[in-house]
Amino acid sequence: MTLLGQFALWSALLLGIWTTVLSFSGRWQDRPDLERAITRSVYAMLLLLAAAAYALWYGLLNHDFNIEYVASYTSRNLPTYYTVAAFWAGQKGSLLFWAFVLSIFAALAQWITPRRYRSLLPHVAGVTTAITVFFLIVMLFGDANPFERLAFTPPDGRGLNPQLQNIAMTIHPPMLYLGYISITIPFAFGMAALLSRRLDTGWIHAIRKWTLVSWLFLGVGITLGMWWAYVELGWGGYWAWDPVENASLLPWLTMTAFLHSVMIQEKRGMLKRWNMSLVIGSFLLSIFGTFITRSGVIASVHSFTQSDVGYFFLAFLLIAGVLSFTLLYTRWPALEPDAKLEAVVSREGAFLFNNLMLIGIAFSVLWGTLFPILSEWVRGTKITVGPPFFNRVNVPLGILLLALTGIGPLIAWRKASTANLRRQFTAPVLTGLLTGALLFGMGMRDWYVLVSLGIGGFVLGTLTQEFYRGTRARHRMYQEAWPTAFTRLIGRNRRRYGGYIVHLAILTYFVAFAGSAFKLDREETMLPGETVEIRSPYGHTYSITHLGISQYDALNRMVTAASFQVSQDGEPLGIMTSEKRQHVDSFGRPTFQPSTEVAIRSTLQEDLYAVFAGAVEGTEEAVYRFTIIPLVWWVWFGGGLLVVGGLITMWPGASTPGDRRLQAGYGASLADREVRVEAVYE
Amino acid sequence: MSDLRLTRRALFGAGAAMLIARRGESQDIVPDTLAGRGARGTLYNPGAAGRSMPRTSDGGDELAIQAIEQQLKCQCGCGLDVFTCRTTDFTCQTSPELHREIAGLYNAGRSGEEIKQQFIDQYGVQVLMAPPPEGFNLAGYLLPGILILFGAIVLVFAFRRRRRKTLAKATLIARNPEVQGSPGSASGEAIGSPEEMARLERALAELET
Repeated sequence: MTLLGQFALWSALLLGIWTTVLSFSGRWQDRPDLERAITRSVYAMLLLLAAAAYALWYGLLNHDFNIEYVASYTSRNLPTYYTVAAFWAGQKGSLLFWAFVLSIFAALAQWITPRRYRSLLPHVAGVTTAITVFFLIVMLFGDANPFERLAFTPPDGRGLNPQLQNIAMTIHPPMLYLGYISITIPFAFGMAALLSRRLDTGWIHAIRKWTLVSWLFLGVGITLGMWWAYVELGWGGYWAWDPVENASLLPWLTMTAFLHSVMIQEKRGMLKRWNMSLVIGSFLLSIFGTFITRSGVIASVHSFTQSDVGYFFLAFLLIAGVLSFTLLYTRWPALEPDAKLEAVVSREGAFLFNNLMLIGIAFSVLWGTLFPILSEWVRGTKITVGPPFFNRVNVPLGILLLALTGIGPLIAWRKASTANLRRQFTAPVLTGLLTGALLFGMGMRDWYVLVSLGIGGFVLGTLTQEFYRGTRARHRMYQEAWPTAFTRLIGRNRRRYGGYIVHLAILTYFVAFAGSAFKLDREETMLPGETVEIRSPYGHTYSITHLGISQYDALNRMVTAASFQVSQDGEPLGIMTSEKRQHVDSFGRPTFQPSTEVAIRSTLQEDLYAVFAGAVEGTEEAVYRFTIIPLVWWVWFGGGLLVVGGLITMWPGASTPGDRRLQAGYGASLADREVRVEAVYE
Repeated sequence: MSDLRLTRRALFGAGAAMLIARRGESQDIVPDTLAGRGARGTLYNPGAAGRSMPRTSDGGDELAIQAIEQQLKCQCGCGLDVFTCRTTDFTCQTSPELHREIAGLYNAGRSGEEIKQQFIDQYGVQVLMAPPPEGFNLAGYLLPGILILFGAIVLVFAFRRRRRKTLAKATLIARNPEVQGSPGSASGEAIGSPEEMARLERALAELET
């Protein structure tokens, strides 16, 4: 099967080079047969890379340990679903995974793009194929061939890192990869628009769903990574500002900015240059992310073993950046806006400031990630830029961004008058002030948390007002029951209200992050039968009684389990167990260092998080670390809301003309115009 | 035949149930197939439980020591602070050693700042989890905020300058209808009503003062 894999990779490389040259040569413009050939070669690339992927999966599932990659990441006693996931566990497999998924997206782009944008497709094919060729070059010439064979066949493989043996790790990497890879399609359309000089909003419309898809996958991938870190790594947190975590956040931030600013280009024909720069920047950041991961240039828990592959990515990053921005520069005069900004206090102005904040935060994260290298280069001094730095710099910026999340939907397009602003802002501002006052009255004195939750109240007021007014308008117009009006409001204007649900998800995230500021840790040594009491930030008293430590054999590991009884304010909650696992291969030999499984009890208010640190002198006297973290559950709930909101925004189906008039009328009632449309809704 | 239709209420209830977290479900104590021995319950395979852990000391001191440890980076290469590393990576030998050093200094009467300074003298400033906000490090802390503020100022000023140009152009056309170039004045007439022109004149007068 490795022969099939090798043949597929080399064939894909040759075909890809031919397709790229043909696409960029422009010879197809007078030759429909060449244009069809380009499309067909994209499909052929997909078939070849599918064959290569099949070959690797075949080797993994059949335990062909003569393949170096299979021996490195699997073993005979590894559960099947982890064996499947081992495809993307290592450097070489993940490169093939990237190329394979990119070929799927490239073929999909060729297939599903509406007919009116088909003139862009040959150039799109050229860009996607060129990027695929790069990944093939890395695999075949960068000592990263997933089909490399060993000189011997070991009886068993090394197995999968125990920290990767978690359900989140079977889906977190592919979700992130899907997000990174799918950014290639908007980028390819942007390049195609520049190359073909079709610089109207056509390419924006063509990529709208792709943009949403990549943003959503990145968001889901990031949240899953947070969940994995929380349940698996054992340090009681979900975000450590690790360089690779930061690298995944960067394109998500720029894509968020892009999702907002394209609305301005669609509605007003403005920000053409800015949008083109954003889509180029997002793509380059997606490559930068994988460069950071693979090069080890900045030490990270995520880093693959340092290899020469990093140099390939650095070179590609530089070449792609130079070519893209040079092309943009040559088309700069053709990207004049169709309209001008009429007022700073307008929806367009709010979106501009929103973009400024998002790009500013992205720069802040990038700056902090690279600052250690910069400092060492400038001053020769090594420094550490850890979570305290990022929190100090990004928390204030994040709070400002949260405020804009609530301000943007309240301001009218083109220009907002004083009367309009007063009508829109009164209730949300009062909600925010009330929230802050309530928390202050309850004893909250952490000013960052107070301000962020107060602004959170403001944002919640904005969203509630938007949903309420829209539902009320439908209820009055169509005499629908309130639940029906609410459901149809969302269904008929998915983009807008799906976006509001996403805003609600972001608000939920921020509230949850604010809760983690009150996290507390306690380290305790306990003999069986001993009890400790811990008071949580909410005032609950947890009584924890150590029951003992037991040991047993499981499928591919030996387990040492420490159990303890928990009660809250005198009410028994049950028994929790934290474990130490020593993984073994099929011969019973230890593989990897012992890993720890945490015990988590999660409620809407707070999580009780317990880690069995170890035994004292080999006895049943246990050392535990107990952590109480408020509002963690809301992080995962926010992730779910993000998915719901994202899916709603991209769900196909247009509203009826009547609904569009209703929405327009509602919008007119918000704008400060002397139009009697308002009378319809009062 | 029973009615198997799922009512909206039931579907909503199921969805709500999925969203609401379960309260901690009781777990059975895991079967101890490899029972310990002796009065203190020695484990069957102590090595499988990882390295032996020392007992924690008094809670009050531990909290203060923990706060200091959370500002210092473990030197094992993990990138975590000392407290997080030693209570997470139970194979690390470095963080327990650093913990003993910090605890020893604290119990000898040293303050948190003195302990941190001693570690800086020993390991360099990279031992701190965040660089001190001084000198070149200030660029790290302040540059993002400065750039955002600068960007906001540029946006506002760029808009105002453009608005001034637009108003000036409109005034020129209004005052001199024979000046062509704008679509609305093709016939040479003012592009606005007399009331609108008067408002424009007043606004320009305010600008000029």
